[in-house]
Amino acid sequence: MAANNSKKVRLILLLALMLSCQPVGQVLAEPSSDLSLQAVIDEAMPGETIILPAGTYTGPITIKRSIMIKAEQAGTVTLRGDGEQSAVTIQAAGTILSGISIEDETFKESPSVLVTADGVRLENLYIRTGTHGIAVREADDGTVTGTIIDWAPQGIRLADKGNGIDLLDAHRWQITGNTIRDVHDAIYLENSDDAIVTDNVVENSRYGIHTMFSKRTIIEDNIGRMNVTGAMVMTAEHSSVRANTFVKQSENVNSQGILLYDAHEIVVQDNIVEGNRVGIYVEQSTGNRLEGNRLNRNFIGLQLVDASDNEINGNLFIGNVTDAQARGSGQNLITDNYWDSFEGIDADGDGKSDIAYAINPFFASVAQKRPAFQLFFHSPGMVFLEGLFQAGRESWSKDLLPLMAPPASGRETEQDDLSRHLVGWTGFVLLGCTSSLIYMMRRRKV
Amino acid sequence: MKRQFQYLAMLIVIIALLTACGGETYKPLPINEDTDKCAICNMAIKDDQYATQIVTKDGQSFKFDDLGDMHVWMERNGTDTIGAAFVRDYHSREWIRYEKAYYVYDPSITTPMAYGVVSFEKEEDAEAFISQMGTGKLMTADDLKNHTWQSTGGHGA
Repeated sequence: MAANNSKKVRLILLLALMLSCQPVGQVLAEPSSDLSLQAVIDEAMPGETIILPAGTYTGPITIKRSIMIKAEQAGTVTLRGDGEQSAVTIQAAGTILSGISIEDETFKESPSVLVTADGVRLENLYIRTGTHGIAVREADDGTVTGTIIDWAPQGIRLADKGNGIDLLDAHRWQITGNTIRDVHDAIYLENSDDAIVTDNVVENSRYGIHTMFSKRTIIEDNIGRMNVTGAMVMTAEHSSVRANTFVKQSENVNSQGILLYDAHEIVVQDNIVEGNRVGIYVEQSTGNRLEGNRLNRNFIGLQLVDASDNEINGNLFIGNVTDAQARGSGQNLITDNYWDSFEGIDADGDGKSDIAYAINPFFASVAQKRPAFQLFFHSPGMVFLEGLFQAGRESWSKDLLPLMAPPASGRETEQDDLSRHLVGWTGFVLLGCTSSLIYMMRRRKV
Repeated sequence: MKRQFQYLAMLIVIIALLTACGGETYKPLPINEDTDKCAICNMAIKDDQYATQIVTKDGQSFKFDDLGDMHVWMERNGTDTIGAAFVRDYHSREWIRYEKAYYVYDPSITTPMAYGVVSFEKEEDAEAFISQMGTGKLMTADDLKNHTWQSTGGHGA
């Protein structure tokens, strides 16, 4: 029976091979119902390419030899996961999966795509998941590019959802150009060193990019919107968070754009952090460099808690309700930032204020002792009390040389330009309307 | 005679009220996954078997996503202000007293902050867990004081 089956499979493969004009070494699978995709995969020799014609295939599949599976035409091939197993399990090093939609919508434990082999490439996939989208376990040197991951089942609480891409003990992975929405943590790295996370869009999830116990991570050019936290860098060292944009992390009481906890020697540079509850939050972290970031319109721009020996310079704080809060963080080198709420005095004309900008720790301390008092955030009484509180001023966090004006350079937000034009044109149109109204509806002399 | 009886009744009522006031009043608060964050590491707390909680003598509640972080809090703030500390039973996820629970440690146990310690109400449950895992160290709250807490990412790296 088994021999019979395999003969049939081979025959179909042969036929497919003859019919198609594919170069040798490629296999065109047949989307017929009595031929399972797994059987085709098991037949393939290492190094072979299986090209899937348009259609819907039924999983789960397990890949045990290093092959390439790609859609004949991206977006037309759907692999349907079924039940509690992973839709795709990759156990062979060097496997490539490309251009396939994976629909694995069951709410379950095992991930939609499970990778346990080195050097795996996942390209241009579309994954609708009810669990972790892609989970990598003890496998190195892989890539995930151009992939979209969406959460499928309705009515699942955020805390119970799976992660988009979840790496555990997986080193040197490159995660580039992906879009991940509505999951728990969009990209989660645990114990995974030397990861490169660039050009991804992470939205409506718990944490956009979450790293724990991972070293030398590069997080660059990503965009995070409406997450609880944009980038959560925890127990990390020698990483960089550069040129990312994190906007509107504001819907949760604990939201922030970028959070560093127990993080050391991290470079946080040239990020745009806009409209968040807290822009950048740094706790129990040392030796980090925060420079050239734009912190716009956050409730709290920068929050420091028991953070020391960090360098914070050249950042712009514009339109935040409170520029900065700090407690227990006197030992940082803070210079050359622009704080728009601060009025300095520049007698020698070097563009830097001669008086320091000190961050009053009063409210931060009160709110720590009695969290309910956060209700009085920026209430007139609290601002007045803060003004009276001057104890231990020499140990406060302070910018020794705050800038008098924002530096001309720095990344501009695209929106700024657009909205400026929009405002101009709207005003012009309104003015036109009013003038014509006055002209046409005026009371004429009889 | 009647007046004496009244005094006696009043005394009984007062004693009853005073007794009600004393004794154990520390109650753990439920975990709200939308708003609760770990008092140490800032991570959102899941309403699961790893959550822990300290209620201080002045009625403040500190919640943690991992027993290890509760221990970090104790190290930083001391234990004098603690009214009661609670952990969860691994299976029922009910709050139990920190002092009365049984603990299992193994670096391979995954917990939110990778300290690798889980808690049980009954000793036999903890033993069953160890035999099922094939490894693990059974501990009491007293043993935890001498435990070297290490957040290693779960694999001893």
